[in-house]
Amino acid sequence: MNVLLLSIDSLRRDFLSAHSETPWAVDYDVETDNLDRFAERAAVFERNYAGSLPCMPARREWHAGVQEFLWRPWGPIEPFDDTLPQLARENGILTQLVTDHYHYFQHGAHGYYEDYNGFEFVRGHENDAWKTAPRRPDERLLEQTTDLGADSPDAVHFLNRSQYARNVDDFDEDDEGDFFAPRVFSRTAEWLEENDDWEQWFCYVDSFDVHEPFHVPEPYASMYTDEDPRDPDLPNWPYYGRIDGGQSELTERELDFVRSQFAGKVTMVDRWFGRVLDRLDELDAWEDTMVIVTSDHGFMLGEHGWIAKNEMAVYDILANTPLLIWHPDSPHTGERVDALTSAVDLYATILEALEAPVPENTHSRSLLPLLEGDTGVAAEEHRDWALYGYWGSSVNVTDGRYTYMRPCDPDVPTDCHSTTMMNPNAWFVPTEPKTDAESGAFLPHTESPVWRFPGKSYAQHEDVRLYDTDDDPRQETNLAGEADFDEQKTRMRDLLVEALETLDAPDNQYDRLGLEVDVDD
Amino acid sequence: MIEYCLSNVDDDARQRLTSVSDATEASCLEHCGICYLEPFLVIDGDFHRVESHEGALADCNHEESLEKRERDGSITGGEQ
Repeated sequence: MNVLLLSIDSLRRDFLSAHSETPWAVDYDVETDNLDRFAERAAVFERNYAGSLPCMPARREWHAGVQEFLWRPWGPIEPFDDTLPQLARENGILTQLVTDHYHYFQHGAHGYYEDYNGFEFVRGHENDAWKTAPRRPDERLLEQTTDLGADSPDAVHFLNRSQYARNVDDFDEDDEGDFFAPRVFSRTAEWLEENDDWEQWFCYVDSFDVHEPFHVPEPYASMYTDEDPRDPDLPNWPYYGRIDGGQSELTERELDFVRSQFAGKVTMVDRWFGRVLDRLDELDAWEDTMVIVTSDHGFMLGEHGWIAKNEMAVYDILANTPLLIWHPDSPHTGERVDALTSAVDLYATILEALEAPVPENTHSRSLLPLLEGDTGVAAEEHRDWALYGYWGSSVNVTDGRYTYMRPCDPDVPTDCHSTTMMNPNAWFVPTEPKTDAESGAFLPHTESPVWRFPGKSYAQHEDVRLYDTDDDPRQETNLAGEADFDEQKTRMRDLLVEALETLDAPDNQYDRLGLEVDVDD
Repeated sequence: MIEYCLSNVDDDARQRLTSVSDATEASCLEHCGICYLEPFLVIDGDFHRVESHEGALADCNHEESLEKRERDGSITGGEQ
């Protein structure tokens, strides 16, 4: 069996017709014909949750089967990780990465691409440290993407947003072929054809689109708006945060525009993803290929007063991620799977499908029983909880219906565990020595010693949150303060503790979450 | 409204900012390259390099403080 894993970054589940007729954020339909075509063929998972957030933590869950956010933030593959491509190669399977996800090549996240037999890296997305000329890129695009008060093109500091305008300066905004998703998916289609004579392969396609900046070529830029998408007054790269104040503030007009460009990018991704489906058809590859489509997280588009991710409570818009799987031997193609599943489960699923050994002591549970057997029985046995969140902030749990968000005390530091002295709160800049670090075999899933040092906690919200996502899928009513739901709140709190105990989470987590002293919550 | 980045403040400055009614903490304000090098604040949506957080907050009426500090040159908007 071959495995094709496709991640479409920041793809919101409600933008897929398979889940929602009209996306929650807009009042118009968004074209996703090819994702819909794939959903008709695939098993569609209704209750799939992210685990460790955001981008790279999700990728370590997929690559190494570890729910890292209880121990460490965004960071590299660790020496004790057995990665998907490493295990595949050790079992004679060709491995390939096709991506424009530049975080793999940036400070803070080494070790992911190195295990593949081959990798294609489409350069230039977001802050990719690629081009240094022209020194003064297109002024109009700079206006749309960059706060020039902070990020002058004349400045050379890390993560200067004017990098993007420089990277794409020679792109033709009327030629979608210049842009990122078209190139990533075109290259994927080519790779499938070029490597058709290998006995077995694992190909991982990691599209940075739909991720911002929402700089979109025609026809997509004008597809969902009557505005001039090249109007320098209209931003296509909003800062993360509240839409009602601060640097992330957006007027109603600006927010509508951002939504339209997000929607346009979804359709662009969809059309070029369709070329991969076409190539699988042409190669008659479906009968020996498992195809997985998923995303790392969603993206808030004004809901609850927020734009983007990271700073707010981890609503289901962010955490309830799309997961669609075609498995040639599954009797459940075209069906809905109601079982609660987690991002980390892809690790064991892919290894089993490749007939490669699944290491012990991972947090991953294979989805193959759900795909191959009686989904009802398998769902009962798969998982009772899914944990998700960001290292350093709230820890969240769902049972598939109720979501429970447990805030941290921001004054209690969070322990960071790694073989590297990573920056726990500043991922993208050079690391600094941690003179307060101690070393030891602190992790339950490895005998390897690691450093342990404190990082800062921060509050995504201050109150306990409880939502019934069956009755309130948009999570607009917090039930935590309602007496009628005291029992549910206590049950979900206990489920959180059970999950933490099952994973043997660090003692520090209980302290910072107030789980040992707060008997009322 | 004053926004500050968790990575850009030491414990004292964080404590001080926490007590300012219109100050908001962010886990990251997406100015990592500047954040790595020097203190900054985002005041009413505008990015400002500052000599120190404490200095910029000496007067909790930050509008008045901002105007004063821009006049005396201890705070600058944008690139230097």
